[in-house]
Amino acid sequence: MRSAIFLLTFLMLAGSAAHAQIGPIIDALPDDRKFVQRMIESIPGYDDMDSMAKVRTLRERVARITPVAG
Amino acid sequence: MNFLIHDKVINLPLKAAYDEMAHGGVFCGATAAFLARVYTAAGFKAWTYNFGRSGILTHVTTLVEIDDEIFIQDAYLNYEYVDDDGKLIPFFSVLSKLTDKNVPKTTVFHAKRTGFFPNTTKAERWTDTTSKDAGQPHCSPVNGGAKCEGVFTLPTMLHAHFLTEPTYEFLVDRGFPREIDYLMLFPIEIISLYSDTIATRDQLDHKVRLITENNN
Repeated sequence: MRSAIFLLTFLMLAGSAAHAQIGPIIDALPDDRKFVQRMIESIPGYDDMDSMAKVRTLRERVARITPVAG
Repeated sequence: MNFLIHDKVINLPLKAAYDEMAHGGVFCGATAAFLARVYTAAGFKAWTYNFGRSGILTHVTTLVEIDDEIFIQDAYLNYEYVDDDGKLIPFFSVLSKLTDKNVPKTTVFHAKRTGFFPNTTKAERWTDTTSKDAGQPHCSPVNGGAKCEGVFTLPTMLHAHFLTEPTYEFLVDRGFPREIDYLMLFPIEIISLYSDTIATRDQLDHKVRLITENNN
């Protein structure tokens, strides 16, 4: 169990994704935009932020909503 | 417990992937891919950067392009590299500083979040109790493990992880101080999730190899 932390996650990604695009991810992009648009709408003042602030805010939001596996 | 839902994170639409995460938690690779997908859907170009070596810690984080510069954003442990004014430091400047044995400042955010652990003891070891709102994690049993609310940060993860010490030894053997940031100088791979970022991926990978080639 403990060896699962950090280890192997990359290998799974590498095995599935190689270096480049993944078909399902590209296919999902329209739905992904809707999901992210809802996330953005929940962030006060997002549209008025510069790109740097938008990126940092999105990271902060993803970190808060993503459950950690430890 | 169902920690390894990584394939689902990269094979499902984000909403469905997020629903899966809520039942089991995710490791760094899935979180980095998730953030890269969020950035892409928000109009930014993004990649994942995998680094470390077999047998010691490895990590996956997210790279994002802002105004023709590349920056690191880590959503798994919620950190980033900043200068003294709190402004983001570009990724390649971070690598160059590390090569010069100068670790840039790292922000550590102390926000409560959900974590899935094999047991409450491990959750407690991962918990940062130094911030005023932190305290001990609040855990409930789930699927043979524990679902906990707490503040989980890079320093506490390093304190708890059994591969931290071997990783420090690896770095010291190669002339680096015992600081985990230097592991970033040991690249594994940059991954592009979308076809329009492949060419840049190749350029980024080449640049990373040039900066780090003397470390391996």
